[in-house]
Order: sequence, then structure tokens, then C-alpha cells
Amino acid sequence: MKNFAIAVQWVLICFCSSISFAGTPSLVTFYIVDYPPYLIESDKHGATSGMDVDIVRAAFREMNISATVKVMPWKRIIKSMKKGLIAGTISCSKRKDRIEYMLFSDPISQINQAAISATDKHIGNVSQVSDLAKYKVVGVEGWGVLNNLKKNGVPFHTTKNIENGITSILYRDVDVFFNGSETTKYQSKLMGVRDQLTFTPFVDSTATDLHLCISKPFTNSKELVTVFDQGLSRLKANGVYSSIRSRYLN
Amino acid sequence: MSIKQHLAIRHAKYILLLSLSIGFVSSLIQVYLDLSDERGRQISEIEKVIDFHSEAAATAVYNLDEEVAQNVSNSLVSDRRFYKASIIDDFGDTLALSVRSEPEVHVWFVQYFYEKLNIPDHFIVPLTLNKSPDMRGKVDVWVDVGFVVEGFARRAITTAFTGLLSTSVLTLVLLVVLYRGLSKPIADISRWVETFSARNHIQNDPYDRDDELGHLIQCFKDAWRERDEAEAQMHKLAYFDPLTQLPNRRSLVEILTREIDKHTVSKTFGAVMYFDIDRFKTINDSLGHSIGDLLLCEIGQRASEVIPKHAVCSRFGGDEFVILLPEMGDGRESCSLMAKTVAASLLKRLAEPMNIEGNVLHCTVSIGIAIFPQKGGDCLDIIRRADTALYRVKASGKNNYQFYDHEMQRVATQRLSIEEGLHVALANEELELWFQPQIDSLGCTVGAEALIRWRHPVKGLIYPNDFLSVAEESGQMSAIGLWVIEEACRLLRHWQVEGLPEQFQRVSINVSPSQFVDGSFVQDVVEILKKHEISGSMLELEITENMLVSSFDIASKKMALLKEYGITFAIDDFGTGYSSLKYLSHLPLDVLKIDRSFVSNLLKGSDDASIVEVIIATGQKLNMRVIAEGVSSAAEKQCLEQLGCHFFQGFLFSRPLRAELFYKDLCEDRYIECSES
Repeated sequence: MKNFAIAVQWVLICFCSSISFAGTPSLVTFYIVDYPPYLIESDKHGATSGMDVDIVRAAFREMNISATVKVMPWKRIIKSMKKGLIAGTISCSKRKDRIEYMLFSDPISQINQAAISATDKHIGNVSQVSDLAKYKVVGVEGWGVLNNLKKNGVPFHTTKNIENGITSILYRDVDVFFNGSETTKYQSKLMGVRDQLTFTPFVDSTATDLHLCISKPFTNSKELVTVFDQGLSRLKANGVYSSIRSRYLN
Repeated sequence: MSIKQHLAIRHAKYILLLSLSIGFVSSLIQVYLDLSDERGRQISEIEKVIDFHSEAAATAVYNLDEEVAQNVSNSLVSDRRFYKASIIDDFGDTLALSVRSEPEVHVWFVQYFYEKLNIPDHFIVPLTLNKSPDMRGKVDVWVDVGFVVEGFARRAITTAFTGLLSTSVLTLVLLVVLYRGLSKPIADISRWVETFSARNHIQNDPYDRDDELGHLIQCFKDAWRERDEAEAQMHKLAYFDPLTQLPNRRSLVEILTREIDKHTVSKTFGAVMYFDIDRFKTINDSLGHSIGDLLLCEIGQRASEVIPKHAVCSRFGGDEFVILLPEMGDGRESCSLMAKTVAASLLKRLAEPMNIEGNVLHCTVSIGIAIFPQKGGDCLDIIRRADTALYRVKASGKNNYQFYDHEMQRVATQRLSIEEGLHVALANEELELWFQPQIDSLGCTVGAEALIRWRHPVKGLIYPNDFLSVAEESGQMSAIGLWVIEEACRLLRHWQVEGLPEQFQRVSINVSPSQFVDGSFVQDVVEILKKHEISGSMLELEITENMLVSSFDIASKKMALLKEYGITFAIDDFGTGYSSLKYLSHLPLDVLKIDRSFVSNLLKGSDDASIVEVIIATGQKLNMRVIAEGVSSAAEKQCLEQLGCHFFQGFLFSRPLRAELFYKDLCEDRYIECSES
């Protein structure tokens, strides 16, 4: 029975895929920025990789579409998407201002905001974002997570990147680095200081979903979203999704 | 001299004009060359600046980083060459825009160069993004060309101005240098030349450097020295006799003129002594001019030694000297006495023998003296009076001195008249030959003495005694003497053709000493004989005893030469001269003519008769014919015949007759006294 159900799902998927495939390209390119572990602009092989990149490639591969991922500055990605010049980007969050020109896939991954601090600093009981007001806080300049700080009235400084954020809490007088825990853990592992950091989640902060974002004016943009979602489902069903995630998050 | 005429100023003007012109032309050329260079350079620099910002702009465009793009555009317009810059992304959207103030309006020369430079005012530089040819942004830059050009224009103006300034400064410096180095030294030299020209001697050098001006000064000095030397030489030549180094006529006249004035004022008297050397021409002709010159020098030197220190001895010319004796006395008598003393000393000193180049010469001088000042008489009058007195001395026997008086003046005037008349007498054919026959014992005319007469157009007939001495002294004797010989030969030839009596053998012609010693006398006589085809035997030359004595060697040689042509010689006025018997024996003489002084009133047994007898015996012994002159009575003839003389000449037989009358009587063989017409 179980096997039958799986078979029926496969048939339906294939059918839907076949329907969805009509008009969708066989090759598609997406553009990313460097946001490890989700997006890595150049790994040890010099190729783009990352958790979400691998998931997107795998999902389109499931649908017999070759997905190429290239690097592009974020603002250019946005502008190009607005103009329909590129297919889209990976690991962007859904916001109101983006709905106008972006189609969002099913969530690929999440960002969980955390208060990262040096383990030896022992910042006090922090359970809500607003609790950070009494600390010296930094966040990466221009990133959306900072809106949460603003919303909660927490003053903060900005830093150039995650690495600088980590450095500032370890070696400077910064108390808290407000950032996504996944990216920070990944970077700290690269820096070899993972064990020096403490990640404190917030009870009032919900995880931010990250999607494959397709440019609305791009050709066959809707079909692309549909095809991807189908592929993503398959990945989730066949366990590839989990294995990819565990490769980056563990 | 006005300042404009200064060399330095004139040269400075030229230099300034030239420098400015060259500077202006070169500036124009420079600006023209700079224009093209400047355009290229400016465009290149603009592009460099843009290029410098391009990478940042491209990165900003690629990242669509507005902040960075704005920084880039701000950086561009911070360069004053650009007043506006924008960065456009590859989507065509302006990523950044920076604007400074609009370019201001620039002055006319900037506008001019702006047009000439023709630099674009808008640059668009494409940006290649991420090495992708498909992504191209651009940088737009607007150039403030006025600012760009202004720099060049100001540089051009500054260059021109500094060129003008440097030219002016250079000209000023050159002006100063030229003035100090050239004009001023030349002006100093000019003043120096004027100064020593006025002071007539060389002043200290105004410039002592060894260059062209120094050389010029040296040339001036050398020229001035040469001028001084030339002036001194000219002065010497003008005022001194080159032979004797004595003052010359001009010098003496000037000195005498001054002395006359001085003596007139001081009421004192002086004297002028005019002297010449007796028979100088004879000495000069016989011994040569070099001996004659040395003689003159000796005379001048001796005269200078004799005269008082304040006196002046000058050579007037030839053998004539004039001595000025100033301040000889307060009165004419005292002055005359002093002058006599000087004259006597002079005569004595100059009479002393002189050894000239091995020749011992005995000279005498004749001195004429005039006292000054004379009323109404100037310098030349005084000299003329002294000269007149000299002539009186000459006429009186020479070797003496004579003071001038008025009678002398009359004689001198008359003499001058004769001398001047003689010059034209020959040309005007005023001279005539008269003949006085020479008769033998038989009464036959065997010859005739030719005698010269001067038929003066005003004075009438003038006898030889009245003009021959003047002719001798004035140097006309040779010409007249030759004419006599020529005329005698011509007439002889004519008579020969017409017919001459057989007994008529010769014509006798008087020859003056000066004529005889003339170098061409022999040749002249021979040519005349040949010309008229006359045999020399028809010609007899009468010469004086004294001439034989004084010029024995010359006389004997010439006589020997002429003898070869058959010419005979007679001693005229024999018995009155200084001849010695030895001379008579050594000379080819043919005739002795007894002087009329011995014949006049000759009486047998008288002293004169004894002399005549001796003369006749001498002649016979020496195989000479003897003729008695001046026979004027039958008694004289008779006495002469008794003494042995057989040839006669005198009024008893005939006076001298004109040629045609003589010939007529000769042909008729009779002589009567003919009246002078």
C-alpha cells in the first residue's frame, strides 16, 4: 500500500512535472551573494556552493533542469530581478517590498536569530530581543535582521561582515553580535573559534524563512517556481534535503 | 649731443625692437605649437583622471553601490576641471550625480583660446563591469573648458609678459652694459681727443684695457705722434733750408717782419745783410753740384759762427744768404758801425780757404747791407735794398760790402729793366750784329769783329757795355752768345754766297767766360758751323785773359777740340789780365789783341810803346798774329807798324757797322765812318 502510494505520488509528480515542464527552460541561472552556510560564493574548489545552493541545484535536477548559480552583488541581483534580467536569487526572505517583483518558492531554509556572545563574557539572561538594549550590540551592516533590533528599540553598531562581528565580540568591547545563528556558527567554525561562542536564541523571535526568489518579469517565472517547489518536495521526500542540510549545519 | 644720439641708446632701441619682435614671433610660434600640444595634453589628462576613477566607478556600478558611486562622482567634480559628473549603471539609471557651480564666463582671451584649443566639454567613458562586455555602465563628465583653457591662456599671457619683461630687463642691462662698456668709453675718448687737440699734446689715457677701444686709443696716439712729427717735419721744410739747415726765405721774412715792428716801437735799429758767393756758378759748374752744395753748407756754417748770437742767418736760395742783425744800435750810425764790423768779419772768415772733399777752395762773397726800420719800407723793401746794394758790390768788383743808398735803387731799377727786356730781345729779334773791320798793313780787310747791338723798341740802340753784364748776371749770356755765333755764321754764309773778297778770312766773335765753360759750348759751335756750312777757319773766338787763368784746364780742352774744326782763338784785351807766359805757350792761341788802352795816344818810346813792343814780340815768338784794337789815328797806326804790328782795328778805319752796311763796304773795299742810326 505504501509502495502504491509512493508510486501514485511519483506518477502525479511526473504528470505535474510534465505539465509544468511545458515552457520551462532546461537551463536556468541564479545569482547569489556570499552568505554561508546558505550561500558560498567560492568553496575550496572555487565553485559556488552552500546549503541552499545545493538544495536548489538538487531540486531542479530532480526536475531535469540544470541550475547554474553565479555570484552577483546583492543590489544588482535585486535590480536585475526587478528588470526581469535574471531568473532570481537564492536564500532571500519574503518581504512586502519584494512581493512586487519577486515570486517566492517554498522555504528552503531558515534563519534563526540569536544573540552571539563570547562564552567567557557571560552576558546575563537574554530571552527577548529587547533584552539586548543593555548591551553593546553589533550587526552586519545592511542585513535585514537588524530590523528586529530597530523594531525592539535596541541600539546597535554595524560591522562589515560576520567575521568582523565575531572578532568584535571576542576581541573588542562588543557584548553581543546580533545575527543568524546558522551563518555565525558556520563562520566561527571556519575561524576555529566555534567553541568560544555562546548562541542564545530569543523566545520572541521567529525564524525567518529563506526562499528561492524568482524575478516576476522573468520569462516563465511562475513555471520555474512551480517546478522548483516540485523538486523540493521530492528532495524532502527522498531524504536528500536532510542530508544536504546536515552536511552544512552539523 | 642729445641723449637720443648716444650709441648705447640707439643700440638699445634697436635691440629692444628686435628682441620684442623676435620674442613676439617666437611667442606666437610657441603658443601655436603649445596649442596643439596643450589640447592633446589636456584631453589626455582629463582622460587619465576619468580613467583613474573608472575602476572605482565600475565597481560601484557593478555593486550598484550608490554611496561609493557618489563618492566617485564627488571626487571627479572636486577636480576643478570638471563641474559635473554622473555615473550611469548598465540599466541606464543614474547611480550618482555631482554638480558644482556652472562654469563662469571667462575673459575674452580665455574665450579666444577656448575656441582655438577646441577641447570637448563632455566626456563619456564606458565602464566594463565585472569583465563582462554585456554589462556596460558609463561615466559622464562635463569639463569646465574655460578653467582648463584659462590655465593655458594665463600661462601664455604670463609667458608673453615674462618674455616682454625679460626682454626689457635684458635691454636695460644691455643698455647699461653698452653705455658703460662702449658709449661712455667712446665719449671719454672723444673728449680726450678734443682735449689733447686743444692743448696740442697727449693727455693721460682715458681707457686702459687691452681691447678694441684700447687699440683705438693707441692708434690715435700713434696717429697724433705721426702728425706731430709730420707737422714738425713740415715746419722744418717750410721754414728751414734742407741743405744748410738754416732758416729759409719764408722764415727770415716772418722774423724780419716781427723785428721791424719791434724796432719801430722801441726806436732801435737793425740791419739786413744780403750776400752771395762770388763766381759760385763757375765753381758749381766746374766742380759739380755736390761740391757746390757742400760749399754752401760751409758758407752757412761759417756765417752762423761769425754773426752775433741773436742774429739770424738764412739761406735765401741758390748761393744767396740773408743775415738779420737785430738790436744793432739806438741810432742809424751806431747800427751802421756794428753792421760794418759784422760784414768785415764775415768777409774775412768766408775768404779763408775751404777744404771741400779734397778741393781747396778760395771763395769771396759780396755783401749788400740795408738798415731798418725805414720810413715807408716794409720787410720786402728792406730785403730789396740790401739786394740792390749787393748788386752794386758785384758791379764794383765783388768781395766787399756796400750800404744801400737811393742812387743804387735807380741803377737797380734800370738794371732790372734791362734784364727783363733781354728776355724778350732774342724772341723779338731786337738784337743785331754789327761788324768792325780788321785791316792789315796793306789796308785790306782781312777780318771783322762781330759786335752785338740791342735795338730796344723804346730806348733805341743799346750798346753791349750797357746790357752784357746784366745778361751775364741774369744767366742769359749763353743764349745771347749762341745767337751771336749763329747770326755771324748765317751772315758769313750769306756773304759767301753773295761773294766775299779773297782777303777776307774770318769773323771774330767775343765769347764770355760763362758761355765758354758751358758744357755744350763745343757741340753748339760745331752744330752751327755744320748748319750754315761754314768752315771753322772762318771763325775766330775772342776770349779774355782772366778766363784762361781761371779755367785753364777746361779752356785748353775746349780750345783743342774746336781747333780740330779750324777755329782760331784770340786773346782779347791782352795785357790787362793775369795770364802767364806759360799759359800762353800751352794754349792753342792764334791771335793777341792789344788792348785799346795801350794803343790810345801811343807814342814811340813811351811806356805803353814798350809794353806794345813786348806784346808784339811775344806774339811773334809764339807765332801768333797781333792785332791792335782801338786804333783811332794815323799816328797810332804808324807807331804800331814801327813796333811790328801789322793788323789794326779801330775808328781810324771804321766804326762798327750794321751787317749790310759792312758787307757793302767790304765789297767796295772801302771804309768810312758811318753814322749810328
